[in-house]
Amino acid sequence: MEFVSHPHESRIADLLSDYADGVAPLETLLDRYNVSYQQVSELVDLADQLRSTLVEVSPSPQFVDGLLQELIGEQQAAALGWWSRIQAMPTRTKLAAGIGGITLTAGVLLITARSLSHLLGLTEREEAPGKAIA
Amino acid sequence: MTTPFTRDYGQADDAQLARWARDDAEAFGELYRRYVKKIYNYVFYRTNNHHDAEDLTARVFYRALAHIDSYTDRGVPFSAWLYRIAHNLVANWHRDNSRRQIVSLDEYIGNTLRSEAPEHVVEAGQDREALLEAIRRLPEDRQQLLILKYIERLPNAKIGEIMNRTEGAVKSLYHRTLLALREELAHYHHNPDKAETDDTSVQRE
Repeated sequence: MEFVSHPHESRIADLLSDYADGVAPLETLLDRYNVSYQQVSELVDLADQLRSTLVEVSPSPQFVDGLLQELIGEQQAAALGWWSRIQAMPTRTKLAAGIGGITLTAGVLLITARSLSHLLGLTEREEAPGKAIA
Repeated sequence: MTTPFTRDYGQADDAQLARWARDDAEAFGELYRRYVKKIYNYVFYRTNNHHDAEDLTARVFYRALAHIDSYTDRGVPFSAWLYRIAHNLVANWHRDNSRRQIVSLDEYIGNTLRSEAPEHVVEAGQDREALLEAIRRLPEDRQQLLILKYIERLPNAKIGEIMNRTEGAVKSLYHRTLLALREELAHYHHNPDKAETDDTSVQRE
């Protein structure tokens, strides 16, 4: 016989919890926690009532499937958010954005090209004096 | 590194799915499939009707989806995070509905059928209803505990994670909950007269 030494209320709490969880038959638990049946009979009966009353319910399959489709659609729409926003813009706005982007890119390329050619130009002039002396 | 094409959603744990779910609809779908029935049960027993249970269940998952980026598994499992969302939404629902008590069609039909049934069936039904009513009069945390223990069949450790309590505190709360229920039921048996409704939906101020 297992006996666990606990304060009285704590033992009853442990017993009731184990009983609800189906850890062991009631008789075993009464021995284990050194509690008499009379001390817990009403609460044990109540636990039995709860077990038979609180039973699992099922949502309708239509609800479950429908909500899943909505959520997945929502998730996919969020992932495409930035592209969807661009697509939703008026044509003039998209055109202006496109022209502005092209202009900006061309300007950057031009500056880069001029810088490169200036650098190349400097390199050539540095080599020239050496050749002239020779 | 996995890609959506190589991911095994069925085998992944909740934390991994939650990370993928930030930009992977299938990952969130898997989490949904794992928890929709549990959340529905939780909400149903807190609201007592299927219509509101569906509405609130949907809201739980929409909120979870909207905030999936902010979820991180730092000692709070995904299930606990989801139940907390459900708990908060149900609490708000009760607060918003506390002034007006609308008898749901489910309740009306239940009342009507009981009045036409044989006596022993009526008695058993009344006992069940009395118990459910007593449960609904309990504080929210005690209702939550009973649902997690009896419907979800969660161990105390898991319940503790969801309710942010220790195992010992869960056992103690469960004991006190039974004592409170016993008292509620004793009060009911001494005062069995309840107001009956005779309309499909009645608003009581």
